[in-house]
Amino acid sequence: MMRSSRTTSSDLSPSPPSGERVGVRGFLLCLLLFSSHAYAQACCAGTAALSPARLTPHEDAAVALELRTGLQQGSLDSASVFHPNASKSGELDLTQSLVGTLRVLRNAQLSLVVPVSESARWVPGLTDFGGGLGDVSLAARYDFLLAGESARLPGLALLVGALFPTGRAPERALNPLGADATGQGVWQGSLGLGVEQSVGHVFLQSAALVQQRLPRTVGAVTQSFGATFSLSLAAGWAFDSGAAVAVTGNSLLSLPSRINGVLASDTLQSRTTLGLSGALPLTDTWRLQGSLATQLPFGRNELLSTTLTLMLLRTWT
Amino acid sequence: MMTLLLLLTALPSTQLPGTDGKAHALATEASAHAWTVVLFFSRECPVQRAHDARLLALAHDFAGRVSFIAVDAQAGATLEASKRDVEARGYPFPLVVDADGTWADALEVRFSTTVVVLDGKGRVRYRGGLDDQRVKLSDDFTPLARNALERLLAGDEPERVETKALGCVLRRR
Repeated sequence: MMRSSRTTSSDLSPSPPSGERVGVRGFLLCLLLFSSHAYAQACCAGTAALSPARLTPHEDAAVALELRTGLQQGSLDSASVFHPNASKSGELDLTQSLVGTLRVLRNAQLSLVVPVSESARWVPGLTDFGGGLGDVSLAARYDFLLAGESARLPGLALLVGALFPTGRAPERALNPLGADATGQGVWQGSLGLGVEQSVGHVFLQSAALVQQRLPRTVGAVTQSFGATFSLSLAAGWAFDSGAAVAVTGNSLLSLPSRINGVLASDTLQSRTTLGLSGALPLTDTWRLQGSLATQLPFGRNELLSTTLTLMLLRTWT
Repeated sequence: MMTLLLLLTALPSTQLPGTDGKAHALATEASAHAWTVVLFFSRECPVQRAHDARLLALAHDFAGRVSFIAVDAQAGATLEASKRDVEARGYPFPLVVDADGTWADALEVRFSTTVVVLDGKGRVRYRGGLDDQRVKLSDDFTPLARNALERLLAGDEPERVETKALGCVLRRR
């Protein structure tokens, strides 16, 4: 049977539910924060391939439209057992995000992502459509050292992020299958480090993040979330044309939640995602970026999905 | 900004090997010519490669009036590789090997393809890009370094004494 992420208002418990949303957003946040710089040089083209809205060292601002679609294949339960979608059941998600990034200091940049989501859910005899404004996120990056700037030391960056519950929380969904829920209904902050290096055409990047969601209460149930740890790795190749491709991996572990103060050990979540990213400069100021990422069939309390993302970006130097 | 640039220079006198078989000191290079263009070179940078033709045209058009010299200020720079680059790219000017980045430090340069124009007193009169494009070159561009040189040779100050060089990060030790 398909497990839905936004079906009922009592959906505070275990949760592939909001877990899947958090997972996807965590991964996107990693991608947003992740990465490298210059342009065409591995240090620079890599940025575009991995961090959709990250500015290269020369750029002062960027605006992008991101289109994302995700198709769910099934779910993993708390015992890591995979359950494929039930016959004639499924979910298709579409998200359009407006992304803006601004350089606020020579080595610091700030990104804002405003998503609008639409979902279609279907079970035998019932199809549900819904959508609206999703959870807005803000991310900041400070590069202490740029990749490629030192022959001995890798690039090092401080990553800070916040997710605001501007979308409709699952418990506020009105549709029968909850397709109109567009957010996780909780504030979230993240802190991490990015490490990267480039040698010739090759670039390597990693980012480690700790994320924490604030507690939330629905009815008589209060859920206090455990910390989420995320590790992202990427290796790529930058072409002289400015194009770049990269293989990406992300692993996420969310510690168990407390439900009304009681530890619910079966709420532990984990997931691993493997992806392929690319960037193609159309001009010096326009570039097309894309990624295909799929969750691997091991983990806990997660929905499995494959996500395709395309982004058109305009930059200013 | 201009005042800052004019006060900037304390040019190093360290002798560095060049692809022309001579030793070059930045202070001497500047004082020996009325105008000197120092180009910060990067072998790997595609922005550099994309701009080779425009750089050659610039050197050609100002030959006899401006001295051109390039420098590889990246860690690992070698004379052998620099000689190959000069030959392969057809540079009519020498490429100096400065693996310690002393010229980059003295002129406060972080990115390749940066052009620095020095007057005969060793003062920085322009620092920035060859132009305002990176790798997808088109005919719609501003020849920043050319404009600066033309104004300086005419006795005027450049409209913009400092611009962005859209090249690659210089790899330092």
